[in-house]
Amino acid sequence: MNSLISSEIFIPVLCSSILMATGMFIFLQSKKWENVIPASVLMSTGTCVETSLIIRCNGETILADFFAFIVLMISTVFILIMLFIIIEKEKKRKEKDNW
Amino acid sequence: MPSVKAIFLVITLMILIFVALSIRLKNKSHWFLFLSAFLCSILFFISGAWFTAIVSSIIFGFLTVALFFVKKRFEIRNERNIVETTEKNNFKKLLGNAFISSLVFILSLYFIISINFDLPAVEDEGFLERIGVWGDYCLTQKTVPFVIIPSIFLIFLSGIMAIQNRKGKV
Repeated sequence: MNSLISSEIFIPVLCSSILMATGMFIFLQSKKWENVIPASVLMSTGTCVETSLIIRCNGETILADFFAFIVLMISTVFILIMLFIIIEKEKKRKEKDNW
Repeated sequence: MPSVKAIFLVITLMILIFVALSIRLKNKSHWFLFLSAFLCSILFFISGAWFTAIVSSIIFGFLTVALFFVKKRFEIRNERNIVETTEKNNFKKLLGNAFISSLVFILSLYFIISINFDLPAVEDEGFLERIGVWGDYCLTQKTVPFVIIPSIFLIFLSGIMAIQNRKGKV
């Protein structure tokens, strides 16, 4: 624990955790569909940077990129699914209003 | 030359400001989102994930353009939504969401503290072998499943809650 706090990567890791938590908060708090994208960008950046930092501090630069890429792909799929659900709901609401 | 810590702090602060502005200023939201996505890609570069930085800039750019076009399509519906959402927004929900967010924050930090500086060094091995050794390590560690499983559970829970919030059931 002490070695982590005194290390070079502690502040970057803290920053990425803040980004992740802020993204989660915006995602939960906001009910408007358009805020899903900024929230997801924050969340995925926080997670990817954190993953990259953990692995990179062990001297594995290529693996850091590889794992960060995998995390980015997973979060992108998550974002696209969320967007698809929300857009479909908006469409249905619009159709209901028109009806 | 400023240190990595200072660069990270400044860029994180700028990203948070731009995201806040993109949520607050409805007409210019895509521009602020574009700026924050650009800064996110710089964070990837600094953290050493070069390839991910290039891919993320393409994906985030695509999302920004998608937001611009989709927003135009649902503009009228959106204006109507503002009144509905502000009425339902109460303090209890805010506290609950803040609690979940802080739990995610603590869990992510705990995740780092648990596995950091303990990963096995695999030298003179191929790329796939190293991934295999690391995968085995992550699965056999006692702390990791206790952190990863709750994190995944929390992400799904937040997704379900966000959908429920939109329905107005929570």
